Amino acid sequence: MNGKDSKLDDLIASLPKELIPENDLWDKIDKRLDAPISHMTKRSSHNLWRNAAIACLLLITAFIGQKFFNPLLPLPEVDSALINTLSEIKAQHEIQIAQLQQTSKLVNWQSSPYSSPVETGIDQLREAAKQIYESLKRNPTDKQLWQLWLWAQHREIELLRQGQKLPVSQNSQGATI
Amino acid sequence: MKATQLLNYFTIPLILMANMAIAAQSVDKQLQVDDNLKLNIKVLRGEVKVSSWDKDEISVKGTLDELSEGFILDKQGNQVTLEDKMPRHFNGNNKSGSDLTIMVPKNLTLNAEGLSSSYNLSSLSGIIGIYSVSGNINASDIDNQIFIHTVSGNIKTSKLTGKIKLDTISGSIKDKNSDGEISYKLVSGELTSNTSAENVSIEQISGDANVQLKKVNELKVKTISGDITLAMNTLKSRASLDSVSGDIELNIPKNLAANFNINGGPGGKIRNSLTDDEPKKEKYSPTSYLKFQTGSAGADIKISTISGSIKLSD
Repeated sequence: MNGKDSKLDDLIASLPKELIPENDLWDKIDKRLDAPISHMTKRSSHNLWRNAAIACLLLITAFIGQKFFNPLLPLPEVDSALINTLSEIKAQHEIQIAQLQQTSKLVNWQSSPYSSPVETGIDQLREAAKQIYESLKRNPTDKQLWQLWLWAQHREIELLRQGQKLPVSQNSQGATI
Repeated sequence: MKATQLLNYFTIPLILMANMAIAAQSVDKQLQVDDNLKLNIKVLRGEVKVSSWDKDEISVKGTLDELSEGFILDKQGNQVTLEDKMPRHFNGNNKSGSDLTIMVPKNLTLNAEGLSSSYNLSSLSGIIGIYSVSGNINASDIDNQIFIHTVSGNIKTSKLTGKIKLDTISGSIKDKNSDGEISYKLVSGELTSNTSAENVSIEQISGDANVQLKKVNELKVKTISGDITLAMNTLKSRASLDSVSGDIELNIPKNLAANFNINGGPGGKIRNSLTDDEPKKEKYSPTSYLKFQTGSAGADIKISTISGSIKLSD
């Protein structure tokens, strides 16, 4: 035991009294400490704002993009059965109109001088029916809108029939065959 | 030679005068008729006046069309046909047409048609149907069932009572003091009406309308792009007014008791000067609504538009 203690005392005694670095780095450290602090802070602050701006821009772009392509607001639930009925009625009406126009071409091949206001009315009804149809697709349970749409179709047929009954020009002698 | 020339100077005007005399061929005919008279009148051009008297007789007086091929007055039982027969094709204007005054028994079924002929009808009762393409139609003091249709001719009526249908494409309708059940149909023509009819239907496409109503039971209005201004004193049952892009203005008394259901559509506007209620928007839709009630709410008023404006005021 005494032998071990004496060995330890020898080793301690052999240690240097103070640690001296191989190279004196203090000058370099001192220079760094004296360097202007403001320069570094400004750069890091600038980066911080730039990053924040980019992040904001990305967030805004993502929000607008989502709103545009995939709206966050839920669309009202659409009754598919009513939409199908709507499409069927529209298709039937178009067939009926085509048949009437075909008959008109076959029978009344002479134009009437009185047909202009009728044709204008028909065009306006068709344009209106398109608008009502689009509104109905968004809101197919609107009873009043249904009635307006069906009326526009009915009135179009009525005007087509009236147009077919209009007298042809009394001055016309018809085409020579 | 001189004598021949002189003769020519006299002969030519004489021939022309003779032609004029033929052109202005006059007619003066009477015909005894039975009860339940069914009268068909066909006069394509000119002016026709139809009025009633207290005789069981038809009287026709006036002049025929310059191009008339003859006057037809045909009786088959209680059915009478009266026609100024025209060639299949003809030229000329309405001034060269017939000028006839027809007296008939007050109660009858009348079916009159024309091309550019104007009809003036008064003091009749029964089923009265008038159809003219470009001629104007004036009708007053007629009751029971009245149907008037023109393409471009104007319709002017007063004191019609019963079931009335006035229909034109581009002509205008001016109706006053009518009563009963009335239907106005127009495409581009304008409507001006002051009616006491209880059941009123208005269908227009691009023409505008100004309608004064008094004691309405049921009102139906449909317009595409035409604007309509309506004033109504009372409403018993319901009013339904629809437009696509046309503006609707409804003027009613503040004390009119009704349930209001206004749909401003996705692009329309609602302005309410009748009460303090303000339109609201749906949560997930651009459609604006206005619902309110006045008084004990005896009647229903529904107004809708897609892109027009709706105005309520007193």
